[in-house]
Amino acid sequence: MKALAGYHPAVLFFYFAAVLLTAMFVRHPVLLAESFVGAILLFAALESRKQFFSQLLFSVLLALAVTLTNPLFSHNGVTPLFFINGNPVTLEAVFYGAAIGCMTASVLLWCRCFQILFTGDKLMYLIGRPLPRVSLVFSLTLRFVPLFLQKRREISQAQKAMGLFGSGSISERAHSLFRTCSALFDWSLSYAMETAAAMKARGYGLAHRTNFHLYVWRRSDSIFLIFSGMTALFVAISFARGELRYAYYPAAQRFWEQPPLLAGAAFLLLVFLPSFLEIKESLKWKYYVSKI
Amino acid sequence: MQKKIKRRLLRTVFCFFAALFAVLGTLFFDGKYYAFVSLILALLGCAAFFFRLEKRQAFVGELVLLAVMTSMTVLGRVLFAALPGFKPVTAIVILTALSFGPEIGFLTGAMGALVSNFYFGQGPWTPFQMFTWGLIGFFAGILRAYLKRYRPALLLYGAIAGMAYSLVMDVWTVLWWDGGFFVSRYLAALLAAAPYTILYAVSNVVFLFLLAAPLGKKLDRIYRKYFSLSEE
Repeated sequence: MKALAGYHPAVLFFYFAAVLLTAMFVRHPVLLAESFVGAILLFAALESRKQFFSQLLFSVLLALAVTLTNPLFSHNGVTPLFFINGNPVTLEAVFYGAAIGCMTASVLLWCRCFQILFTGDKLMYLIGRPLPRVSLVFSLTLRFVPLFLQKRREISQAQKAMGLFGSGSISERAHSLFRTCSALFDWSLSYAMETAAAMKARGYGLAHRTNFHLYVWRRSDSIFLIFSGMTALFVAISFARGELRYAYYPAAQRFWEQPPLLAGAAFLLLVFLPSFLEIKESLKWKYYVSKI
Repeated sequence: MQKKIKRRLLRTVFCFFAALFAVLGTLFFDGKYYAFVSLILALLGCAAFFFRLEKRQAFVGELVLLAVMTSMTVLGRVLFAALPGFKPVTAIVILTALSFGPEIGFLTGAMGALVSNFYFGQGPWTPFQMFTWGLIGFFAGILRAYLKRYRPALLLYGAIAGMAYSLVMDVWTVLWWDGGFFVSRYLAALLAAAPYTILYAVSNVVFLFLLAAPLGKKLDRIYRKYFSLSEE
């Protein structure tokens, strides 16, 4: 179902870096709105319905909270709505709050999408060439976490069988947990040294090692990269020319009078590209299923 | 040998202060890209240690031990997931640094943040979490002679580390939202996070108090048995 998960890790990384940087550091309301809608669409395409709605509710609440609290910190602006304790609550402050609320919510959603698509093995593949040792540590860690969790279960079961594992009061349980973890520590440290000896014996650190991976560069990767690279470049050019500068204070600029056409259109394409691919894929899937 | 380590340490410390001054510098110059600059600096700070690990002479056991201690921090976050804020992660990072020195301390903290966020959610905070946890381990490693000798100093360090963690993370939120440092917003963020800040500090002290002797003993034994010779 996930059409994007099949793309090359470098392409995915580039795409999310471009989108996240723009979503985090460009303050133009048009781009913020595009980023928010795009993030919601992609998240809807990637997540189960239940997860989607709970996260969407959280995002909206977060954005609302930032919007409503911003006037407390900032009394800038020329359009006072009403006064609290003699301090004005201005329209501009509410608008700026809504903008950074939207920005925060959309960045969190983009990060969730990134996490779903960019799994640990992809990160390992990407850093494997420039940072082989770090990627080794990373891969060992990903293996150790479930291994140690399982080992902890085994230890606590053994202790229960020996009648050592207290399950009564909190202090008893804490004591048992402490003893289990102590044994786990001992075991894992000696396991580490055994692993190191085994790796050394098998020639870790010799030259001409290769890495296992399943990623190949396809034509679709090139197309995706060129498309997202071009659109990101247009956004960057527009940013460098100062077209994306936007003043919320003292009076919010009227962005519809001088809309950033180039960056707005390019970012729109960039943001909707993955959701478009996901929706296309799922329609294709439904079509083939219907033919069976 | 000792001299070489000291020189290496000095160089690393110097790099840190250079980075710190760069951040302070952006606060005085008009640029409004503090959030961006600090994000880049956090990434560069982590990258410096990662590249250092690649370049220097390291024996395999060091890498595997790093992986074990990293998975222990992740395990600490998983096992105590029911108690928000009450985690042994920082305590484990500090104890690792006490036995194995600043570099392993930094790497354990940074990798622990990176890997555990694969379980708990990545976000714009990931680079800063990596960097802050790394720094907590790094400074614990530098001060290890004192922290090992004086138990109260160790507990104090844990409490400070727990609070510093919150303080640093909130700085970035303010920089990011306002494009500048607004004291009122920062104070509000601190106030909102205060229960967590206190919980971090308390949990660090509790776990350090409980783990320092038994875990430190185990780690020191491994260090003496496998590492003390390989450093020559």
